[in-house]
Amino acid sequence: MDFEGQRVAEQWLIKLLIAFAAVGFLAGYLTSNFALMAYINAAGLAITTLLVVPDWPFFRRHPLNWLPPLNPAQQQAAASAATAVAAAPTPAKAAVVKSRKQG
Amino acid sequence: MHTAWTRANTVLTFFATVLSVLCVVVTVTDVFHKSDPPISVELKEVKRLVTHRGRQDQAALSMRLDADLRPAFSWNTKQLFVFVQADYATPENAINQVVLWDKIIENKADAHLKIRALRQKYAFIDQGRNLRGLPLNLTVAWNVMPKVGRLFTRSKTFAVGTLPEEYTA
Repeated sequence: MDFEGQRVAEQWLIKLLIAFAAVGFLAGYLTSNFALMAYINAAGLAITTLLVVPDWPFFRRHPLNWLPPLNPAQQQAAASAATAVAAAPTPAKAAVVKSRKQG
Repeated sequence: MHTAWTRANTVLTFFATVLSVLCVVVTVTDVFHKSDPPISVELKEVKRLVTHRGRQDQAALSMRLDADLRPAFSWNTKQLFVFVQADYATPENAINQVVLWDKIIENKADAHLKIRALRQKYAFIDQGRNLRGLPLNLTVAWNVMPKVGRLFTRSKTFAVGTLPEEYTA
């Protein structure tokens, strides 16, 4: 589930549960049937769970667009240049650093 | 909300919150449920009026009860606990309440009580020897046990006459 899907899922579950509770209360009160209210709420819980909990395809319509990966060779060059500027190591130490990075 | 488990948790906890609010709303509907059930209770006969162990008066009553408690049922009522009690005042105690009979009513269809000769379930014994010539009140009271919310009691009291001046044989 992507971020947009998570937002939509949370909004749905809040609206659905409140709607079922309101409808159940009105139906139960108007027909003087307490059990009817309880059953409508139970059905609401089941429907909401089915709709919101599984990772349905419609929650995956907004995938994140990651930046394209940098060229590995460029990345390495940038890293060694940065260490050279920061520590100014001797050639032997630089070789050690380089071999660690590769390893 | 990023895994199915966290979503299931959110659904259940929010459902619990909604239910608790719903319970409060249901309780409020009982405040607006007004009822005035027609009730009458009469003292039919004093079968016995004796001294119990020489120190306390005891009476055996026969009563007639007609109570239509169907209006007391609301959609949120689980059951009623009905009882009849003797109410009277004596020099020893300003308030005496002795329960003579009770009954549990579990559904509305059984809530119309018509009992021509209501016999006591529990003994009517005074704390002293004060029952002779006593003006007696009978109270019909009903506890309403709701499915959700607070238990409450309603009652009606009737002056049903005076007990005999002398002990029965």
